Amino acid sequence: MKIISKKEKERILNKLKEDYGIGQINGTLLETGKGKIRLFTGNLAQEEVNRIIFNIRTEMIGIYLAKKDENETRISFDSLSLFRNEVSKSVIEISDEDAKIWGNGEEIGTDAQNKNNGFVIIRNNGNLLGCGKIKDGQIKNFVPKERRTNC
Amino acid sequence: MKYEPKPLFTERMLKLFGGDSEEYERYLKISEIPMRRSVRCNTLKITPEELKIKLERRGWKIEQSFPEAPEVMVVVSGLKPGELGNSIEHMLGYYYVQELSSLMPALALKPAPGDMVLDLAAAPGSKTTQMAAMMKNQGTLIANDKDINRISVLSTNLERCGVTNAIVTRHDGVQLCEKLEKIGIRFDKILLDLPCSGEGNIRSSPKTLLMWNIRMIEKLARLQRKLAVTAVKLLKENGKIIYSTCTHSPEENEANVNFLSREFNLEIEKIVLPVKCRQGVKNWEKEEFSAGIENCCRIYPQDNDTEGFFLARMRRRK
Repeated sequence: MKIISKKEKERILNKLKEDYGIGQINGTLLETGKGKIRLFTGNLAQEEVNRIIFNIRTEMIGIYLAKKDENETRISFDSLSLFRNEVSKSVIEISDEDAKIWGNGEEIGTDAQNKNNGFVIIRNNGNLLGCGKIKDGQIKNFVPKERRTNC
Repeated sequence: MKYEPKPLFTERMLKLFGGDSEEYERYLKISEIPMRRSVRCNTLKITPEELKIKLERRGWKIEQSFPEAPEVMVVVSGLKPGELGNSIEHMLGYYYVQELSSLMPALALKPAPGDMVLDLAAAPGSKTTQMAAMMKNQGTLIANDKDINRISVLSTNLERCGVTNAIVTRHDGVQLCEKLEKIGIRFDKILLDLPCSGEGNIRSSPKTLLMWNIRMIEKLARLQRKLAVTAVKLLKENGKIIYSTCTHSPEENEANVNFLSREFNLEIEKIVLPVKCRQGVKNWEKEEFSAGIENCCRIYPQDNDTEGFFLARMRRRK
């Protein structure tokens, strides 16, 4: 687990703004391997965070915010609803019927085009139901197994 | 009753009720009634007004019994088994299924944005997520548990509820406090929700009556005291600590609070909660407790239609 530099943080936040319209995110970003980025909003100085990490068996810090690949940043299912009122780009509105299918972890069909060729955010009745990726008229489902509803 | 209380259990409860056998009957009677189903709106993600509308659209009848805590909601309509935990609103972390009495420790501690807070025995995370919401994800919350499986549940709940200001640690409580003391970390607020004999949980877990024995109470009381003694040392001046259990036995409650307040110059503060609280007992067996012990809060199932609980808030004097 390492604290992400100021420059890299700025790049990630710009990407989230560009792709999803999410504005200011305050806090420290940490990278935990496999491109997973965590957001920690605790009011500790970097030195204090390090003092804890190095001396105390630390299992987790903050929330899993996003996963970054080379050119794409996929915002995590759980942190997405923290930005419910900010998300304004790459949103696909789905029907109640499709929301049930999506909640079960299955792909759904779409006519929408993916302008950014990246991830889209799925929305139903004002609820943000995670990220998906459009390919060949289908939206690939990224809802984590433990968050599926099985309805 | 599914399991008959042991004679010593009955004798002790009667003593706590001042020998009032009708009161004890009321206590036993409510213990046979199923619990009310309550949820806490997670204000990190949604407002109580918005959530209420969403839940009512499901056909659930919602009551907000505490005007001072609109995030607390009781689902008064019938529910199918597992329905509360399988809704999309639950999946999205808009609410946490939480028993009413278990909401009280955080309401009494009042963690605020910017505070440095320790939750020593945090799993499964009901009170941790509640405190994070009260802190608006600002300030730092160290949430500890010693068991890896319980840590996993705690972490999942923190993620689901969108908690961004927590650090989850895995240590035995005493060991953690010693390490934190060594590296100079101090707290404004500490929640000590301690492992206990669970006498307050007989409604949801009637088997507690079967397993109940006085030796377990004595053993747990010693463990609680040991944990509390190391935790208290981490309080800043004027810092506050909640000592809470879900049991009624004074050995696990007032006796330990009395010891802590005396040994560490802590003031036992008066608490105002949205449920009926009875005063702490002033003596038990042969021990007389110090002045201030009456500020402890005893929550009985028959008073509030909840589970049983005990809590005390103490402030470290300058």
